[in-house]
Amino acid sequence: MIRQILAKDWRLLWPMALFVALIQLCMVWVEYTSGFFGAVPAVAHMLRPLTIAWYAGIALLAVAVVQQDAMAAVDQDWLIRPVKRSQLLLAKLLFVVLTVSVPMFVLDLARAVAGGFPLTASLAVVTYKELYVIVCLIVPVIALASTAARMSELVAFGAALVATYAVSVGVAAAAFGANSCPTCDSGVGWLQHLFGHLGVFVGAIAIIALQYFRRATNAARALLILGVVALVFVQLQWSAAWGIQCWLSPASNEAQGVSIALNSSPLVDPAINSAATPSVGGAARTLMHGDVGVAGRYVQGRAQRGAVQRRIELPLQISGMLAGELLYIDRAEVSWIDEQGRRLYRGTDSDVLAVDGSSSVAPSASAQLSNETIAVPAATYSAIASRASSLQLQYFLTLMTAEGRYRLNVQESEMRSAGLGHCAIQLSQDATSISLVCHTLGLAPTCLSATLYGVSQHNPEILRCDPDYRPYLPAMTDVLSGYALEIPIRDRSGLVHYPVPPSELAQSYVLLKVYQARGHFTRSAVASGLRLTNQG
Amino acid sequence: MIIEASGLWKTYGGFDALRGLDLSVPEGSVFALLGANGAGKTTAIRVLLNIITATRGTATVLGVNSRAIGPATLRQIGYVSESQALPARLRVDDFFTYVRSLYPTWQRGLERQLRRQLGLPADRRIGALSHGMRLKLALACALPFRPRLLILDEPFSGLDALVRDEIISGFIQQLDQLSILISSHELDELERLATHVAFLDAGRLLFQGTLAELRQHAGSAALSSSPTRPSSLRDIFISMTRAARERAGELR
Repeated sequence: MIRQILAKDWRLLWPMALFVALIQLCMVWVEYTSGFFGAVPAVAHMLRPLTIAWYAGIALLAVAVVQQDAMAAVDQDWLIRPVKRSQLLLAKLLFVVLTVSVPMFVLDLARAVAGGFPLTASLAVVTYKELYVIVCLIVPVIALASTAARMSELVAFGAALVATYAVSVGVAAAAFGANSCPTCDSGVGWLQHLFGHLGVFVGAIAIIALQYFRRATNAARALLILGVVALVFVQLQWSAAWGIQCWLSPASNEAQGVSIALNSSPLVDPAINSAATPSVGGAARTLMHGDVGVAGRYVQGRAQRGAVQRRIELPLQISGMLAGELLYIDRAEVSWIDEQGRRLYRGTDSDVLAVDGSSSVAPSASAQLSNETIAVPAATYSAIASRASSLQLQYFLTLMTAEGRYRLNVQESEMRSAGLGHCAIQLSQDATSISLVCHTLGLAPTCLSATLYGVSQHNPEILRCDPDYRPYLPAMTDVLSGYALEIPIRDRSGLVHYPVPPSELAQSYVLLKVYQARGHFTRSAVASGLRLTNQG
Repeated sequence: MIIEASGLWKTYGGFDALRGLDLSVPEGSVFALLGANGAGKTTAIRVLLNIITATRGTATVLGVNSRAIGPATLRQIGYVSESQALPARLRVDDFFTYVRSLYPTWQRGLERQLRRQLGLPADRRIGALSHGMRLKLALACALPFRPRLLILDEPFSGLDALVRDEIISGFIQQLDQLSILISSHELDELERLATHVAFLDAGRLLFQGTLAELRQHAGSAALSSSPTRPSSLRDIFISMTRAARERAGELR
């Protein structure tokens, strides 16, 4: 019976299925031909509309096939035919797998192999990616589609869900501020995404079961609305996420010797600053990627915009690190406590603690000095400054080690390696920097550093950290992960001098170091009897 | 009995579409379900076929609890409804191919005969067919597997007299050993067809029995307030419905 239903749906929907396959083909073609640096701008510009079409096409096809034999309707022909609902469901799922996942598999595999990646590794990553698309996109869309009798009904219900989501985000942001998503924008944020995806998948299975085996549309819709609200409000707390990450990661002996202490008293920046207003566009873009915490920070930022702040420098001494190691501060919690034990201030770097420059430390000697800057509201500063207080610092840290070193001649412009993937470098048009872009199968490196070496000297090391400690969760639209680094070589204003002269570029090479997380741990530091002093 | 319903209630929101409906459809009968618009005929049929679930009450169809009707029972039931949503983009031929595959007892010869008699165009998309042709198609798909029970929900709605006559004389009257449950407003046609009738008003059963019993009932004292004795099914329907509404009005 599955074959008959499939054949019937194919007769009805083959033009749409071909169109969706064509969108996928265009997407892969554009990704492939746009190369590393978008050499053909017209092609590169097609990527965004194609990405939207990719999602829309797949979703519409899944909706269309489900609604050919709608569960929520009472006038559908299938209702009076001897059709087993389990077979009907399997036929629908199989249709989407055959018309979406199979072409996607073939195209992704072709893209990976054409990109120079080995067939076996490509097969594994592509299979994983297609399963990810089925679990995280296709099954939820099928569940959603099953709750409506026809497309117009689905559009209305979908709009209600979007409104529910938006209101929930607004309420969460207003009520909890940045705490509405404690793990967002951190290396352990993937756990929130994973639990979100798992929740969506389990919810989708429950909705599909309700619809296909009980035809309980009202209950399915209620579950859907509840799920949307839960997606916003059920957030993994930082301590839980960090605990899971530590449990998942192998114990690191190297981390045991690392310590952090306050090197001297905190210093106060004499300048009085105003809190910056966060950008609406940035918040909206990140929200589209599902980061509720950004909305929280936006609402909090709007509430605090223009508020007078004082910046306090915390001079830190880090010891116990070896050469080639890198310490990443995933989160810092700062508490100021007065002599009576009352907490005067508590902040984290994910809300009001401003990280100064880079939040990572790469030492060359046994001890390393680093400054961390926090911005506190002026009223809080007055309370801290007027009395002796103690400062408690709690750091959530990741020790990284350089797992691979790769040399890339500036003239050669392209390189392939197992650790980096396929990389290319290009001199910028104004000759002020070198752009490095890499495509790799699977997960991009957490941290990457690049140093330009000339004939006799080298420029300062450039570090790019995008902490993400997930084992591997692929992007839906591309089997390859991309990452990039900009290496400055000349300052047009003349304020910065780089040791390697541009005239030596032809003989220069870039040394790339790939860092991988080796262990996650916490450290605390306490300083008592502090009096704040102005830097000036 | 091929259909037996007892105390069926169906409530939508606060509205009771069925109010304790009892129904007994004898095997081999042509059972006409009559009632004004909104009387609950379609709701009753949908409950019987497990398309919707009754709020209260029980029903059996072909000896199976209506809530448990599954593919095995549906293989013995033919169904035609004016509101049946057929796949509009499918061609007639493709629809037959699909439906045929669902019934092990499908008779290709009977299918060919029905298609020829009804003049169904093989290559036309279902969406391009007229309302009457779509009903003919639904009928042609409801018979070739030799169902034990044929349920027709408003099958004559919107059809001209010629097509109605074609369907009644050409098919329904020739179906032997088949039980038919038919709901319609077309009382003249039903009078030619029905062996049994049931009257529904506002979700309640007013009467069920044979046509002869109905005429007897219509002549009884309950309806004698009417200036003329109703004789045709149409007159009886009007008299009974009016009487029921007057009683309901008095109760209010």
